[in-house]
Amino acid sequence: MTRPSQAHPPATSSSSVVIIVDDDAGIRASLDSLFRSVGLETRLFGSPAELLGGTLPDGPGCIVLDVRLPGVSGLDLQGQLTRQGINYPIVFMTGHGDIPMSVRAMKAGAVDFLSKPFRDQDMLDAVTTALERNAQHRAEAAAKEDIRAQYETLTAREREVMGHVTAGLMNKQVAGLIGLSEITVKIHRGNVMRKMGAKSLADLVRKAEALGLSQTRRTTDQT
Amino acid sequence: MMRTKLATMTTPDRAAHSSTSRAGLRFWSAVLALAVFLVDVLTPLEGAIAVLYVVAILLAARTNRRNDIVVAACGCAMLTIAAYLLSHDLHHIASPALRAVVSLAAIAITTLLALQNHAATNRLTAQARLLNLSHDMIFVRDHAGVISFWNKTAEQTYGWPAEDALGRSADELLQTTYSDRRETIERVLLEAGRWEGRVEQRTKAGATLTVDARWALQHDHLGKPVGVLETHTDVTDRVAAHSALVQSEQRYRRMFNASRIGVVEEDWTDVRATLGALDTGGADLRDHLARHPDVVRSARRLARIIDVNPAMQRMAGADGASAFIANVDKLLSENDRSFVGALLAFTEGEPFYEGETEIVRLDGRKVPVLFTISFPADPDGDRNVLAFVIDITERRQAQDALLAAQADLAHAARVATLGEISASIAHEVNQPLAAIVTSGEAGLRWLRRDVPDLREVATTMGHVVAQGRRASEIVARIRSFLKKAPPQQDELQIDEIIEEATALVAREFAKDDVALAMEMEPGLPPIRGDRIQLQQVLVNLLINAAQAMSSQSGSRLVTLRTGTVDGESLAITVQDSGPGISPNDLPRLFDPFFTTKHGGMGMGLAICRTTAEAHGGQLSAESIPGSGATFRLTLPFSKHHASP
Repeated sequence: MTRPSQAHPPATSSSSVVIIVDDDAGIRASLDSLFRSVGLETRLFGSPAELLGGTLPDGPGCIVLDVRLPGVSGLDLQGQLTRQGINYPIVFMTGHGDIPMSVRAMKAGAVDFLSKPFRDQDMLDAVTTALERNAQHRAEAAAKEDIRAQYETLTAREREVMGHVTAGLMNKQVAGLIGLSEITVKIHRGNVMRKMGAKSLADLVRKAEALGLSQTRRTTDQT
Repeated sequence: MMRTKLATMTTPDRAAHSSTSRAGLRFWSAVLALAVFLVDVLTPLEGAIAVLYVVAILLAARTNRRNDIVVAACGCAMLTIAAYLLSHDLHHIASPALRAVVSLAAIAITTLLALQNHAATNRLTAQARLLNLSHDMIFVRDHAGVISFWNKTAEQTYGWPAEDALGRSADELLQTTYSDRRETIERVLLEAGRWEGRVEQRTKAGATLTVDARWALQHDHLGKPVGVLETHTDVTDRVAAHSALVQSEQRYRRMFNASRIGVVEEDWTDVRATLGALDTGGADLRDHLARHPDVVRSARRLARIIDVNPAMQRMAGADGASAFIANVDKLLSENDRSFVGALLAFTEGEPFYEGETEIVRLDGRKVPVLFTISFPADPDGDRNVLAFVIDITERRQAQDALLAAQADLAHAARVATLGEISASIAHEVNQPLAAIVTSGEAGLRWLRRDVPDLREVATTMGHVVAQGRRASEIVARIRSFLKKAPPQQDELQIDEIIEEATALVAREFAKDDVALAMEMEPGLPPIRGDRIQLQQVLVNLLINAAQAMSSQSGSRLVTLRTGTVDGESLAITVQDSGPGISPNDLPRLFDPFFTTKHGGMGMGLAICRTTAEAHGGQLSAESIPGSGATFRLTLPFSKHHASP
């Protein structure tokens, strides 16, 4: 179903894919043409089942989805995708302005909720937003992955030291807590800063938070 | 002379009496002859004693037997001669001989007279016997009316035996009443010698007889009237039968004239002759007539109209029967189809034929009628074919009004039905519009590129056109479903109707996540009826089926099947996998205003059933609670296509 984009400059990213899910072939074809006209790649699916059974691209993208679809409703699909770890932002379409449903969709993280027929610019804006959000999300995920990789290089002692340091303890306190000399703690701390690529303590704290280590500090406090 | 003779011969017991006394007469005749002989021989009396033999002969003649007379005559003659010979020997020839001769002459003359009398008596007896054999009452009376002869039929019919009637006055005895004055009748009788007329008489038992009387005057040898021979024929029964016939005729005539049913008297003699001479080439008459409408047409002209009653005249807008004295052709409309059936019934010897057709009034207007033609079975019946005709204009109008009311109601129900699924319909229309808008905008974007991509533009234009058509089809489908039109009678393929009905509800089914399975038998014959009304029935059944499952989780399936029943009807079943219908609701399901839906009008299924029945079909429901409901619609196949 993938159509290669035309040789025109893409609005956002050259590898962005818009996944269109609608049971109406006419709607699918018109959206396909619209997105391709702005240089976006598209993938078309007639039902949620097709989407879940198909292979999705690895690259950046978003989903444009009719909220009332045979089999599974758009909202249920949203939940299922989330459970499968697929985090494409979703732009919902509806045939009839269904306010309660749009509220639920937005709460569940939908980018936008458009009533058919919609203005093309509204749809493109929504998709652009969705793709940007996806790009941001992907960048954050990539950064987090880098930090985790750096964290993986730490020794057990270094991780322990990092936990206490980012919890705001002084070197002396850390040395006291883990029964090492202050100098040894300093050496570990230096290694941590280097391995984690942290320019400052504040930078290290941010990375520790990104790794979800803040809880460690709380447990430490309690002990 | 004749009167007395006849009078003595009237009764059988009298004849029997004479036969019993016959032996006595013979005996006394012989005794007398012997006595005369003895006197003649033994006494010295001179003179023609032998003349007394005449008395013996007359006695014998009383027996009324020719032989007795002859025997007596011969015996007397021989005794006379014997007496002469014994008394006088042969030498006394002079006066005794003369006396003997005179005696013999007397005997001979008497015998001759007796024999003549006997012959006359026999003739009269025969005549009297003939009169007795007559079935008419015959009696003879003199000019004063006194009865002197009374035959056997008179005894039997009037009740008086001859001995009671004889000597009585005829008019008094029979209490005869005349239609004319008695004197006038008597004068006519005297002048013409005879009179005929009808009178009423009483019997002994008191019954009144109507009698045809024929009287003839009897004359003696001088031409003087001596009596009247009255011959009376009892016509009471005949008169009663005739008057009953006249009454019956009048009664039927009154019915013919006063009836509100039109009656046409027709003569089909020529029709039978023509159909009998028809060469069908071995084919069945029905087929032959179907292929040769000209034969039917000419037969219409051969069925002659003899008379029509006033009701028929009014029905046809005519002033009198004379306007009709033509043939049936004039009366029937051009596109009449009933006459063929009547012809077939006529040739097959059916006693009657019923049908429906239109007759043409004299002013050219057509009148819908029901008719029965009766074909009398007797050989002369062809001349007496009766058609009874009822004007059903008012009934037709009432029927049309009813159909119109039903159509209005059905229309209202269709509007309500679409109202129920209006959200789906809005969506249905909105989809192609959204596709058009988006395709159009995409096309503009392809066009406004630095280098416009005309191939893509063309593709989007194609989409716009296709989706525009689709939208207009949807609108047309809904419009036709909502159209308010009189019911049609078209040949319909059920597959097409099902396709249209399922298209109307497809979105509703998708919305409620109901799957529709179709199991269609291919190649079903067409049915006859109104496309929209049948579509409505199916739409109703499908929506009901979908709604029945709206509150259940799990699979929602509606199965639509088509098939045949006995090769004569189409069967469509719509089955759902819902909770089924409660046994309490099932019998009331098709009642008007019965509904289990919140806010439902309760007319849907009632109208569906009315529609099915108006199409000659049926609509029924069955349900096993917990395993869904099945609605079954049967519709007869169109007769023109029914398999033979």
